Amino acid sequence: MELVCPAGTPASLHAAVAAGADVVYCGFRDATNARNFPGLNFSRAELRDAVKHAHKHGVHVYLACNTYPQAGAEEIWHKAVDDAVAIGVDAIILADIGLLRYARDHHPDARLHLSVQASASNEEAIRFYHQEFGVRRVVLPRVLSLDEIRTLNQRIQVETEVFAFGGMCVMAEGRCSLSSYATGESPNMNGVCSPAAHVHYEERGDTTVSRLGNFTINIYDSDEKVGYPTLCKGRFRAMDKSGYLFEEPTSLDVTAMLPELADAGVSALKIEGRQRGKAYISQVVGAFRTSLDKIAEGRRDARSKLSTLSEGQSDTTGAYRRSWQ
Amino acid sequence: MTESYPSFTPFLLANPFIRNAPALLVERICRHAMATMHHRYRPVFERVAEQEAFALLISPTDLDLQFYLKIDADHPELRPARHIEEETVAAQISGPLPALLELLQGTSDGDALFFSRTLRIEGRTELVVALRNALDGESIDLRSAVAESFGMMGPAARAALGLAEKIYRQLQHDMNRTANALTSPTAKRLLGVEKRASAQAVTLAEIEKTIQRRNRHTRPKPSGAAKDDFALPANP
Repeated sequence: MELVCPAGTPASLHAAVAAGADVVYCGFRDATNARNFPGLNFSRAELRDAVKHAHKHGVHVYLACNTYPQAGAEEIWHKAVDDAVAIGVDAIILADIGLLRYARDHHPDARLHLSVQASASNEEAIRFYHQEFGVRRVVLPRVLSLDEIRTLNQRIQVETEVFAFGGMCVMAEGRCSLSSYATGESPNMNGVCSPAAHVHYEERGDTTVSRLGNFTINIYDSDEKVGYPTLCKGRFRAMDKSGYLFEEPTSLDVTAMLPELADAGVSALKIEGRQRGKAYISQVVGAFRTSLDKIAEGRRDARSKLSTLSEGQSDTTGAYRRSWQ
Repeated sequence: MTESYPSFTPFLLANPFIRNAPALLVERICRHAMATMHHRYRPVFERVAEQEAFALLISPTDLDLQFYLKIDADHPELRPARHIEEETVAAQISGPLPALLELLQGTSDGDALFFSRTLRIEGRTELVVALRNALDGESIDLRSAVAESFGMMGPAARAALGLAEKIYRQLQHDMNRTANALTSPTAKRLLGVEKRASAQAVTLAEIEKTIQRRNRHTRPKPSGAAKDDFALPANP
């Protein structure tokens, strides 16, 4: 399986290449990618240098252009696709059907991948993207179980890439409006979920209060780990009980089930976290490289030592193993 | 703003010297450090202050000293903070000095330090995120920066720094052992209390269940009720 790793800065890309990535994915410094955070992402010149560096080490670079173009401002997204092709990235990750058509018509030789933001989770949807736009790989939403992925892989003609490590998302990727509701900005249109400009932390005695816009998302006791305040991971009170009603602040980690994912026909593993630092990238990519190499040698590596890097400092295998069913 | 507990690091031992150091000397060291950083890593300042210049309060929780850090593309500033500045800065970052230095050099992940509550942030989060991203985008090497700032004396400074790091690591080891020696009896006692409390909670839950069952059996059936399973217990 191909190890697809994140990079928010050129230094992170260098760290990913050094740690053993097969592919590094990144975005331009604007709203065309789903990690549009301040001080993050690549200028055109930086991406050109990054591609040169990666290719020199036998590593591929994918460009994420996976937000939905805003009406009247499509030119920014079209230019991102054009520039990515001119720079020589190995694939472009897209979600919007208009943009997919633009890429197909203007750059018929470009390798197109379908972003998780498109939320294509069934055979018919994936076939549509393959037949209409020539998509060669689909990044599967984090809603599917291992058995469903296996079945899907037996029935479709394209490669599948699944999330292996990092932050979780509620089960409506590309269609979520919670951030937009709270802040006026959404991951789908502006490339940022719960933008930092709307995030506030307050130390109140021994507790830490996190807010998003005008909403209190959580109040952490002194012995609890802190998370980033997204509405989906807020602690709410309902029926006299308070708890994480939508999703707990925990991270995905599939280290223990890598052989099963390979057996299910998965082509690539995606590590989430373009917004994270190069220390995170080095450790996570290095750990997955070691695990994959062990598996290639016929050894099994079920232990993960990455929980300290996770949000909430705890991990899950998410929907891959539906223990609640 | 944050009122943090002091972190138990070897930098605590430096506090008597810092408290008694001449203010002018501390200011001069800060100014020199900032000039060196600005010279070596100018793109960091340009990238962060692209939109606006801003000031942060850096609060090492193991030092009796806070720093006022102004991020400006051309005229950045680092100096000891005065009390009134808590009101004027855009944000405050608190944490043990070793963690802050690791963050500066990109050797620790800022998010992980924050999730574990090693670091605390208050104020305008987006400016802190922008600074973190810009710092992380550079390969900052403090050893080289310090050595360079001493000019001709660079090799001697590098050697002195190496010795200081060695002493720091020894102190850290000794302080951890001391901390363990001091806290382990209390920790053991706490563990015992926790175990007893957990056992008592289980016993209490069983007693509550028994009482509820007894109440269901002894309570008179309401007239007209087909089944008493749907009636609420007398003392829920």
